[in-house]
Amino acid sequence: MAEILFAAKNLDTGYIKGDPISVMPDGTVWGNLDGPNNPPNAGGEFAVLQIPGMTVAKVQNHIGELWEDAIPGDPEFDAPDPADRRIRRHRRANRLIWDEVPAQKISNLLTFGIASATEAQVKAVYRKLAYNRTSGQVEETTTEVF
Amino acid sequence: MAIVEETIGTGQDRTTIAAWEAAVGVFGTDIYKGIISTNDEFNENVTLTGSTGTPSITSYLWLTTDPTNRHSGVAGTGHGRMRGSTNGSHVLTLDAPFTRVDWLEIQQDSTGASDEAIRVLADRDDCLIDYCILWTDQTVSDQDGIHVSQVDLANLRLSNTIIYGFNRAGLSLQLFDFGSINTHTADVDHCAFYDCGVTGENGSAAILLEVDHTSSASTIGIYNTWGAVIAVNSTFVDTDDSAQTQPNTPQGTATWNGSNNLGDIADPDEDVGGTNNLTSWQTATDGVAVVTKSSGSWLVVNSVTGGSENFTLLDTAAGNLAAGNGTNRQGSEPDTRQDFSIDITGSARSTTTVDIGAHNVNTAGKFINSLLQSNKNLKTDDSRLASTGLLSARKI
Repeated sequence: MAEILFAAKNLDTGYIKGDPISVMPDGTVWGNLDGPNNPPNAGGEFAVLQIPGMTVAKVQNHIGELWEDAIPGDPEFDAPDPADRRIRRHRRANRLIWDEVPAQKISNLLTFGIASATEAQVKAVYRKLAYNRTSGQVEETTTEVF
Repeated sequence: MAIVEETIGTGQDRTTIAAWEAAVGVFGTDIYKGIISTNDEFNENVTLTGSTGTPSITSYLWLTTDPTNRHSGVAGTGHGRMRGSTNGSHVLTLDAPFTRVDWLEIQQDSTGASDEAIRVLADRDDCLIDYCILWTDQTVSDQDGIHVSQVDLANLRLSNTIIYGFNRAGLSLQLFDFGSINTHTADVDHCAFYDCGVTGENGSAAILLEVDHTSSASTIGIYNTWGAVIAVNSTFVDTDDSAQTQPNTPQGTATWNGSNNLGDIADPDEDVGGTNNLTSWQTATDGVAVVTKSSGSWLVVNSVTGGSENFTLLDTAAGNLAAGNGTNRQGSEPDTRQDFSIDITGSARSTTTVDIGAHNVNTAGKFINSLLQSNKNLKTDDSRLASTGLLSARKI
């Protein structure tokens, strides 16, 4: 079983509510300032979602950052090394869509800093992010991660 | 200025390094110090970006390990460490100026090309990597211990650190000619490089100083470092990407200076830089008191056996080139946060008899070597040492 630590607030470091921070195995003793030991409603930044049946390995590859290839007009397009012709748009490429999480789960996450959900429940609200060049914003999509 | 400390690990303040970094406050007045305080292995890939505000020498990110959970100058288990195993990811990415990483073992264990132990991004100047062990046992092309690409970067400081096993380079400062002008400046003090760069790998070297644009410049100072073989303006041009224009004629300005390094300059494209260097050692072989020999001179380390590398310097009856042939740099640290008064084991470093590398020479080795030489029937592999009870003594 995997346990995912999510940002439960928008943070100065650029993380937005619902962004995954780390994934750990079942039974992790969470930090004194993390999740259940410091719930968001008590001042903490993060909450833990337990997902029975989902492996750590399955989640691990979906914790990365959101990068986009540069196009003509982007300063990065002229980067000397083609490998650098990419732009990091956000600290994570995927997000738990907070507004679509059932109210009771949100209440538990905020109050207790921890909640559990089935893989199917998480799959429905864990989506890919995309950068909208028109608005200049990172947007949540309907594309499921898993 | 305040130092805002949070411990990291099971049962500590933060469970993961990523959680610590995600929760730091804004840059301005405080130093944010994340302290690994367990003997956990952190299987993470972390970008140290930090928060809003402007990093400075008085406000920066600092990732370190508690003294009770640190490595002892040798990679392995039983202490806090990082291991990255996700393909396509660097273990650590330094994304904020003045970032400081010290007393940390970092293993790059991915099989992805160009996955580094540490990558430093453009204009993240004044970063410090100190008292670390960076290593891999993967044989993957284009992997470096520390990599800086075709970007501007000033004042990268690397000290008291051991880097080994990377297929391409231990420290890779690349300024290929892609049509833009960039500059790098870096300092390397009291470091050790081993088994970095393999034959046939483009840009292969312990330290790669690549400048292929007529107006680009790379400048590095190297002191008290062994294995400091530099490929300067080398012909190891990356020709893998046909879309790039990469002249095979090295151009630009590559400047390397410093002194009291120890390396092999058998290849005409290589140098150890600066003055007063010792250049007579050859490729290391295997064994307990090993080493490398040329004209009766030896660099003696504990073990270069794959999987049990131990670069503790031993003092042998035959002598060790690294012993006492360094130069005192205490008080001349390039970064005010550096302190060259102790080695990677925490032992005091002499100001008058200075050893080359991250370790001080371990005089206990002289005793062991004497025993080994006096008993011709005693093999030098670990199993025999263990059976005789000498193994623990050897690792003093």
